[in-house]
Amino acid sequence: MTVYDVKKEDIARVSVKNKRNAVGHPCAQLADPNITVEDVLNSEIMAWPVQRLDISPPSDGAAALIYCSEDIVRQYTDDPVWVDGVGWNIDSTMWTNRDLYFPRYVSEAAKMAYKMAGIHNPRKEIDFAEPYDPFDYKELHHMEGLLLCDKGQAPILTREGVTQRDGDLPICPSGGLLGVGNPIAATMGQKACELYWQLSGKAGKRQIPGDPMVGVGQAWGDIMQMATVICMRRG
Amino acid sequence: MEKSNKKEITYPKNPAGTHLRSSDIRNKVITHSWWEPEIQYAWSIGPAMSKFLHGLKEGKILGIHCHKCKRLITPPRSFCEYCYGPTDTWVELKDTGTINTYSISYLDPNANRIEDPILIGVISIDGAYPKPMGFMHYFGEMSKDEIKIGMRVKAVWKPENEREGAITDIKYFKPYGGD
Repeated sequence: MTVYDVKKEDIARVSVKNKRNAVGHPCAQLADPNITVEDVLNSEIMAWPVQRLDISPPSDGAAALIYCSEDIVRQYTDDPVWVDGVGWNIDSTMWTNRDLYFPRYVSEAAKMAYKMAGIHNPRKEIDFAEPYDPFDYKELHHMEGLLLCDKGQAPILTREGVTQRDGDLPICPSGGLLGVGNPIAATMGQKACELYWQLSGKAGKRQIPGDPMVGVGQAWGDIMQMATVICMRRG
Repeated sequence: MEKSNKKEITYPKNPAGTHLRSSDIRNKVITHSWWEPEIQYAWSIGPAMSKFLHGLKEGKILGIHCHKCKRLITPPRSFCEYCYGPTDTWVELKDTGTINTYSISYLDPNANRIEDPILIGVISIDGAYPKPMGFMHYFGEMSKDEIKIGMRVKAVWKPENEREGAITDIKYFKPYGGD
């Protein structure tokens, strides 16, 4: 907020977007079609600048995906979704010795996954993303870590509606952890499931228009220190 | 037309599952058992952190160099996590610094709601580098309206006879006008 003059209102927009996106998700705990930025800004202050509606709930949940060898996948489905790249990275546990603005471990994990997936220009080649959003501001951090925009730009893209489901770069079309719930340690599965549903055209009410071809998902963990990234592509 | 040789896969129609409510446990609708663990543990903090805590007992904040990465690290450790080389040359740092980030917490350490917020954050300790380099602590002698990023602060120590070799040997950091 200090380094890039990020406004609380723009951070709150992430929570509003995700809780609205979650409407129609069968597992959603906190979907709300009528939530407003004012609701978030007026919610109980927990640890300033973080308020109640900036936070996802710890949830119980599980996610599962069926992986299949490309040799036999056609026995099971005509429209598989391919895992093109995975990446992971872990930074120092000493988080008080690090730049707390830019999540370098996310960018390193993303570069690893993009290299494997043959993605050279993530901003042009990726159609939508499911970054880890346990708090609304972390979605913004993680968008920048995934190299989907310049530092300080994620709040502006959110304000301009670019990250809405019908925007140019939909972010968390599932409703994310803020809207669906945060099943801690199962979240990457949750993100990967949404990539599958969106890329196979099975996301129902949550479907991104325009047949997205490539999606990226990401999870975050430990002491603000670890990231995993997955790139998936429509078959 | 070739006959399809697709295998049948079934999947649950209700991925949300069945809700489990705390009343189900209270009313013994579900089978459950209750266990309260009583766990005690000891943690060896290693030579570098031990020396750091001994330093706090003497009213000193210590740092250590990684000459290869040109870092003066605090809290100190016996190896640099970036080059994995050993650190050496201990330095006594000043007990002053700059607020790198902070929070005004209306939750106590047990997540109970509190009226009077706790001021907490990360201090970049003077002399340590590259910035930000420091540790987390409480702030005091300032109000929630006065605290800001970039504010100069100085450690307020416990009296010598009350220090026990812990990070809490510093009570908090207060505003600091001097250089």
